[in-house]
Amino acid sequence: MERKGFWDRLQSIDHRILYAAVIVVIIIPLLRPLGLPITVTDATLKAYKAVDEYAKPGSVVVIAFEFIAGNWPEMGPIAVAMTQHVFNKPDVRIIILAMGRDEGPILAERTLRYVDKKGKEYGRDYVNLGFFAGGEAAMAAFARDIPGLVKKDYYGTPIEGLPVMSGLKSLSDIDLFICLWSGTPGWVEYLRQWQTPYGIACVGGTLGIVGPGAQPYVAAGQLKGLVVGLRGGGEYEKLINKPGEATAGLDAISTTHILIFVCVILGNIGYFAARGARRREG
Amino acid sequence: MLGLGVAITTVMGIRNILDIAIGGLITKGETTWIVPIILGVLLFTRFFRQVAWLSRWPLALLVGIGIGISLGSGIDANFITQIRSTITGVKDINQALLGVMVILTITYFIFSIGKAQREKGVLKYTAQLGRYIMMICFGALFGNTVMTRMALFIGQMRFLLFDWLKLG
Repeated sequence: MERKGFWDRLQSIDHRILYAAVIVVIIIPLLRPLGLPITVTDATLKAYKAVDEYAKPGSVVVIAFEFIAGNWPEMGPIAVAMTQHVFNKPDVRIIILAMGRDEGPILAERTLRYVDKKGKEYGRDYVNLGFFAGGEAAMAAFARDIPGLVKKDYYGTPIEGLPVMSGLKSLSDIDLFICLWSGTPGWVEYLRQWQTPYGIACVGGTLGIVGPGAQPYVAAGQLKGLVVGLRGGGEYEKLINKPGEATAGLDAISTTHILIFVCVILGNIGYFAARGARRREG
Repeated sequence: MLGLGVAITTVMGIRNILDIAIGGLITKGETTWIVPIILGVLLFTRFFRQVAWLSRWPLALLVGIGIGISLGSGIDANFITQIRSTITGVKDINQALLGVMVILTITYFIFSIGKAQREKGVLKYTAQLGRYIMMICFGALFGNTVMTRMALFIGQMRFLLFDWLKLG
């Protein structure tokens, strides 16, 4: 009877104990980093290589910030790492915008605070165009006729006064599109309005929860690469050799996953052992 | 965090109306903005029973435009390209397995042949395998969900430890 009680208890550990354990396994690696090795996954490496391939001197890169403030802990490191990679490229024009999430321009500003500009000047080399209302209709309009839709940047400067926008007529003038999204509206809308009709090279960065659903687009080549979750952010930071928030959080992610893994195993051991004990008792 | 997100969205929404529509109409004299402004106001008529029917017009327009725009390339983007990639993109064992798993999963959703037929023959086993494949997929989705939640929690712990308590 005593043994059966133990196995049953193993299946129903008090939630408060589990929460306390999660807090402990997060705090310890944050205060004392363990330095666990980071291996780069194929999708992240593809994204990195695509940026290298398409963000060549003279090219134009569009970065869409389609995530919300609540996603910053996971999306922020991805945004900073990918934006930094583009800023590392010489003689590349960078256009930042949002068409699905009106918080996008604010989060883009926050991202740019963490990015080393490498001598790039606002208005000449990069611009924040702000948010365009209209969702998919705005995406279609931008793709068809950029000067027709874009009249001023996020700060109200007329587009004529921004050299970075000169000569851009339609999406055909864009070489690479980086979509940083956390749900809907996001990549799927850009896929319909930008990637499919214009065949533009696209890479993405998204939440861990969204990643599995977006993997088929990588397999089909619609996304050249995909950076998923805090882990993906850490991998990208490693690739650009600039450790940041994701790298600092990866040890905590690993220890948390080990804890969850152990809990799942213990729960299963408890379940099968309790079932076996009940069968033996008849 | 949720409250902050809603607040930002509300402020940005009001700012968009003031800057883009009303600003365009008053300061630049772009009279075409009258049309979306009227349609936008009509959406709120649903709160008044006697004129609630008026809200159907802008809603119908929004739905119509949405469907028209998304259907154009949506079928190619989400169906044809994906199916083509699944069939013709087999370059290694992973993609071959992916193709097999897609077919097995589809067999689980064949309901047009009656329950008795489904429960005997090859379809019984393929559908069962398809169910296991979906369970693996749901497991992977759940794992990533946990990772996202933990990442958000870690972000807040970092704020508490390093920005607030100044421990790092």
